[in-house]
Amino acid sequence: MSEKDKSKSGGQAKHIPKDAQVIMSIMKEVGITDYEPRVVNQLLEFTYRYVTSVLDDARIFANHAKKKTIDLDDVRLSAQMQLDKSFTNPPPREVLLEIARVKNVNPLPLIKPHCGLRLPPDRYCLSSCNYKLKPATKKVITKTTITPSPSIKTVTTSKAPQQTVVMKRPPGAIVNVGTPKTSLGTKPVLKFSSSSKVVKPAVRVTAGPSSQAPIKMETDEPMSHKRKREDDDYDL
Amino acid sequence: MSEKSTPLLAVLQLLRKYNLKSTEDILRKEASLGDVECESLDLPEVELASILTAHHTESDPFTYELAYDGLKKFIENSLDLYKYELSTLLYPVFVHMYLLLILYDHVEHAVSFLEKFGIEQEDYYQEDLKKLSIVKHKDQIKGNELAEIYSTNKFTVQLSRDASSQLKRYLHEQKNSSVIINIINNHIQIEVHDGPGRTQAQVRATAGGVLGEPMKSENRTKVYYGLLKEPDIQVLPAPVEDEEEVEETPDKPKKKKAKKDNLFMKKPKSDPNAPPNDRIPLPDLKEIDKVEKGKALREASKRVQLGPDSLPSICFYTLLNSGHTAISCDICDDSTLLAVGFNNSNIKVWTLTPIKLRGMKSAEKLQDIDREAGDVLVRMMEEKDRDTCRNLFGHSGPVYKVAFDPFKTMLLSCSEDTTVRLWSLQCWTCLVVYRGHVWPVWDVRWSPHGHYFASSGHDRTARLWATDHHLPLRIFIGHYSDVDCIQFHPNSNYIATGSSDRTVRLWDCLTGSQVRIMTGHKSTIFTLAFSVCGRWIASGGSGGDMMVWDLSTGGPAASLPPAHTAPIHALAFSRDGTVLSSGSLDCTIKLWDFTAITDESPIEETLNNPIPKEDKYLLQSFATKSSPVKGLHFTRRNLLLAVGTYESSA
Repeated sequence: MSEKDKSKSGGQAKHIPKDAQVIMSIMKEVGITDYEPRVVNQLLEFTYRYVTSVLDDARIFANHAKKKTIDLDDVRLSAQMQLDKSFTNPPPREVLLEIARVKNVNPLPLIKPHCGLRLPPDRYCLSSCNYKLKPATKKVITKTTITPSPSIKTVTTSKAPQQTVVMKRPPGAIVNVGTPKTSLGTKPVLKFSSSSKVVKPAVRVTAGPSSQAPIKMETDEPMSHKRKREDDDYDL
Repeated sequence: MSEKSTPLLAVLQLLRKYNLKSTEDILRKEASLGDVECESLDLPEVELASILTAHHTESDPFTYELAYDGLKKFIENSLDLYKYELSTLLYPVFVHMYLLLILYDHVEHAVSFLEKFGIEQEDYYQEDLKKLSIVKHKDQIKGNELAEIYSTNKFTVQLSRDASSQLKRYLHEQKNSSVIINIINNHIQIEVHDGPGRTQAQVRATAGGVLGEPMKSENRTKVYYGLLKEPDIQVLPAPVEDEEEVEETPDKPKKKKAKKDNLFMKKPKSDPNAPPNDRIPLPDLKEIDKVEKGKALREASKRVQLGPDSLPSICFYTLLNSGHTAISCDICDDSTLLAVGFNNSNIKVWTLTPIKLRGMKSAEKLQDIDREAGDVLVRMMEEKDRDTCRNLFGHSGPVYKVAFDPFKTMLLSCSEDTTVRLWSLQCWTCLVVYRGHVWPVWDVRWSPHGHYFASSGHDRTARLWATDHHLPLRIFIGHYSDVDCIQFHPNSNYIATGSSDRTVRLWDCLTGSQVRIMTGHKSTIFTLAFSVCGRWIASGGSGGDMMVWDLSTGGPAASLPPAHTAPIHALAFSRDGTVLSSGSLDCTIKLWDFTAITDESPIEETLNNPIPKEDKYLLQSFATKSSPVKGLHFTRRNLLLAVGTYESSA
């Protein structure tokens, strides 16, 4: 399309296509005068991508409403959907005023005489026990205990601040995993060595309260693969 | 879009509001308007009213320009006494004329109207006009934030009695064109005050708020701006300790004792403007805190008295290799720790004294220590785990503000990831994540007495939290735009917020209601500082303008000359409240004579002698070598510490 436009505006010295000129005029209107030339290209790409996705959605809506052609309403609806997905506005003032009215009526709670830090109830703090993968040790792994592990990985989403998952194993079997490199601050490692319970680790880990670090889970993924490979080694 | 007339659509909306379905259908059929869903105006009530009341005049676009021109000429020709006040009327009239032209689909007229008269508006409104100029269609009014603010709220204009009667007379003469009258009735709130017409300087001092000046009623609530009585000072064994010290330094025992006595003598007098100590629940001081307080008082007695003749020394901490990464910084009250928040979501805490930062012992070791020992707090810490700098990881977005609590045990940080995190300075880990803001949080501050903290964010709210509640205790709603900065009053009963809507508001922690609104800034407000006595508040804006407000009235204390040329991000009062320091991104620190600024003698006409005023307030200006100043802090002995990042190349 840009070639066609180039030929149309062939007389211009710089051969700037019409779409790019539109973008440049928009920028001028908004008041931006200082920008790198590549910005125009990027904005063009973004515009193209945005318009095609809006029209795609509009086509889907038109099909859903059993219409032959895309209608203005379809386009409007799909633009609104895009807007809601990418940008949400803060709630309108009336809603906020209503919330404030309800909230501010409660008297300020009295402060209990208490030594030490005053923190919210434990489930809202990050003060629960820490978990860490035990370093690799040369022990045999039973195949049955491995299968839960991938599911654990997927189940425990974003639930580990500076912490890593500990695998509790039935007595005698210690998981052969390497400790993931953690760049986070040192934290006392509490190893779970109680072997009387044969509890599924998945349950344990998901019970971890209000903790996050989704990144951590991703680094654990290679671990499970690594473990699987090692299992294969042993099996062979 | 459809060419259906706006008044008809407005009538339809009204009918829909009153659920008159059959009438609506008949009207649609007769006016051949088509289906229910597609043609609909979604306007706020006020706009609807304005359309319906005067549709026969508003439909003619040419009258707008003539009316505005006429109003402008009338104001220019009026007496100086009224001119400046009346000129504040021009902007709201202009904005609403533009919006009405858009509403009535006269887009070309609207654009030419904007071009012709837009440039003549005040400089601080030009940014807003740019945002408004994007609105080119009536559907876009709802989406545009500024247009919505203007169409749903009334703009306040303050006029003296004579000026308002002049205006009434002029409007009465304009019988044929009722455009302006309708705009004033529907969108502008004219408040008449008994007093002489204000001068240009006075008008300019309070102009700039997004919805004009505050109404008198908004600034009438009683504000307890005094400081709290400190009951523990009499209880403190400090006098005993001081006597011991006195024996140690026999050279000047009497001087010290006299100073101490002065401090003690001041407090018992009850301040009528001070709130009762139990107005809001405040935490009791623990034993260690009382010891700390005693130490602080002793430090305070060694303080250097500052004034125009004795300026503070400045110690500047430059952060190297962090020009574009270090965002915010804070120094704790006894000036021993420095925390910096970075845009890669790290927080670093440095020690500013030779004492290194120690971590706490592990759980097993803690069980072995003697809990009854006097120095248990020292034994708690692990000797081997010491460092001059500690990293705190946990946020997932740039850290916009860090704040030490008054007792140096915890650190708060707020970030673009919408959370506020509480960190322990003993374990160096995150303790709590406070979730509530769903948008970036711009500022977080501790109360001077600890336990409470306040945060403000992009969602136009400010919230009061306590460390032991996971939900906010109070939500302060009122700003029309992001709340960029927040600050506690020294008595912890009030919170001040500054916002992108160019207003500074004071909120009561007890009720959550707004008690003061102060306009006058010409740009977003980035930093606030309360004076030591609690009666005044200084605010710094993104245009480099600094203003000082008197909380008892809500008005500006004095007109300050333009302070800086770049946004001001740091304001600090000296410990005795005599010198105000301001640091800005233009790499300078300026010192101001605060006692002169708040001198209650009548303000002279600045028209006669502008230059001496500037000399009077500005004491000294210190320039750094391309290091924007990000933080300022007065130590207990009145040494000024400043923190900035070194930006090597422009």
